[in-house]
Amino acid sequence: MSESQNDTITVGAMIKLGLILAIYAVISCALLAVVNNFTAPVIEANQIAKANAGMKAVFADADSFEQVTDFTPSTDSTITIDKFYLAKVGGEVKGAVVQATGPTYDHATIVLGVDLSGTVTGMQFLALSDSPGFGLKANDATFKVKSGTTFYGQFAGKKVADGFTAGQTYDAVSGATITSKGVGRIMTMATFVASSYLAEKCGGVAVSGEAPVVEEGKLFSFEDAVVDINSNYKAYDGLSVTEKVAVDTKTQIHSMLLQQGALVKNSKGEVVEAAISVSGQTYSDVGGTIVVVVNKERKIVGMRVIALADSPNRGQEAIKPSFYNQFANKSVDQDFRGGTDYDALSGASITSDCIADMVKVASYSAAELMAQHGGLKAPAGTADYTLNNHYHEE
Amino acid sequence: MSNKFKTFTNGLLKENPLLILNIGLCSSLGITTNMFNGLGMGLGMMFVLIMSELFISLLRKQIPDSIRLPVFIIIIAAFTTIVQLVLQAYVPSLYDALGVFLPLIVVNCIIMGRVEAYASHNGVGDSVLDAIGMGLGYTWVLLVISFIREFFGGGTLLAGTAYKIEIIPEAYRIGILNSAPGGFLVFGCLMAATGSIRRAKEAKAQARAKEAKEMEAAK
Repeated sequence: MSESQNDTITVGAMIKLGLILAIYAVISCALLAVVNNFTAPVIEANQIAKANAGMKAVFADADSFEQVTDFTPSTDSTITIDKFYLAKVGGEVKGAVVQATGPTYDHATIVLGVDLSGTVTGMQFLALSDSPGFGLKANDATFKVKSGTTFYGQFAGKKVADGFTAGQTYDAVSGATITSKGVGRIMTMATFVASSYLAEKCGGVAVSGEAPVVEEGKLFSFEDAVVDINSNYKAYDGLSVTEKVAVDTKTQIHSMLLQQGALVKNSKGEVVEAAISVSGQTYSDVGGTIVVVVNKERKIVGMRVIALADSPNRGQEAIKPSFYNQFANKSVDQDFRGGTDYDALSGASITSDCIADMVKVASYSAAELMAQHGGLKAPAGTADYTLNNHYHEE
Repeated sequence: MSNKFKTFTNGLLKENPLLILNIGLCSSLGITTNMFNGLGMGLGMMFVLIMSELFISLLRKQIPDSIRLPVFIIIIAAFTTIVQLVLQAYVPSLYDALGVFLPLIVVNCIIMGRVEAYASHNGVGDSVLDAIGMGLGYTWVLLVISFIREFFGGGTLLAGTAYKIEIIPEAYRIGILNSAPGGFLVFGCLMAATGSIRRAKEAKAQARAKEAKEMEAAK
């Protein structure tokens, strides 16, 4: 070894070494080619049998499958339709088998079959990467949901038209709500794609309704939030003028800070609503900011999220209408307790409770501001309210 | 004879690749969630080990020193690929279970280490004996780890075969043994046990030597 470092290697020696290496490689290759010659057909047969077995498991009646690519892609950016097969009996299309991937707690790849009458013929997981003991129960052959079947087994026989809503049209895995709901969303999208293809090209029953609506969340600026909150609110006509009001942004209220305040006037110039934004800690240290609009009757007109630094798929769900709309029309003076007064986001109860606390502080401050402009005064005893207290008042 | 026997038993305990030399651990912890996988990996590994040591020992005088490592890798990779193709064709369930760890046999330290340290300096017979010993040493440790993990973690025996028996009900299983941290725990305990047995033996030997010395001195 050491001698080769001192000596200069001649070109000839180098070529010789390369040739020796090449000879070893060629011999190995030849050996592998021989082995491969024996195993390749067996492996190929195995793979076809496996792929067909997977599809047969969700569409037992079919005897052959044909892959097609001209299906309409998923309208949800988080769910992809990976593969689309037509299930045939004696060459005649009897349904479709779809493979789809989407988010659950982590993510899942499922394969499902839909027949021409819009009935699910079967569903199975090809991959599920959720937590052992919780989400993975969804793919456990020994785990039974309420109806006595496996989680994935319960989908066979369900009508696509009934939709897939956890707890209503199918049983969720207890302790794994996010996984269960996520699978339902993937099912909804995959069955929609399958049955609309079948209806269009193969004489299947027509699909009712539009593509599944994907709820998109967004963050608002203070001004946009006030406009957006009032855009769906028909009680006042011609809300056009918003007048900024200086608020005390230095004094902490239950470790939260007021950020901005505004009065909303109608076309006659009367003050009809007050808006206050508040920032506070949430699940992340950076926390979030929300804005609440309150009317003269001490009712919340609406809430929107201005900033939020929590985890995607969990706390970030708070920026979607299904979360923030639950605070509309609630009284400023009630409690906001997760589970009883509003539904916390599953998997993000801290985020939810902290936002609810911010709603309480913001709406109370906005009601106070409103009281100075003709709104109802706070009923006695409502001033020292308590909060969910995840971080505050420690 | 005793010399050959020693070559063979070396790998079983005294120089056990996993417990004593601590090499080739990734695959041994990755696949040992049931005994079927453990046995499959052990046998696959042993096959590659024996064939590689055999051929490298045979060709040791024909392999130029400066390119011996690439040549070793080519030979090891060829046999690993053979194992891979055969398993994929005839035992697909095992092929799926072993996953990436199967092709990774190529870079397994145990094989590279034995080939470099032993087969390239010793005769064919000794090399094969060494390979069998090391292979068995690797396999029995895998079997022990996978037995503990399968029995206490999965509550089953013979999972992955047609004769699977469920023994412990799900509520009493130690779930962590099924995941990677459980592998580390079991392996750590085994290492500790081996270490303490070894130390006890050494202490005994030392005490005996001391006694003998004292006896001699007394005489």
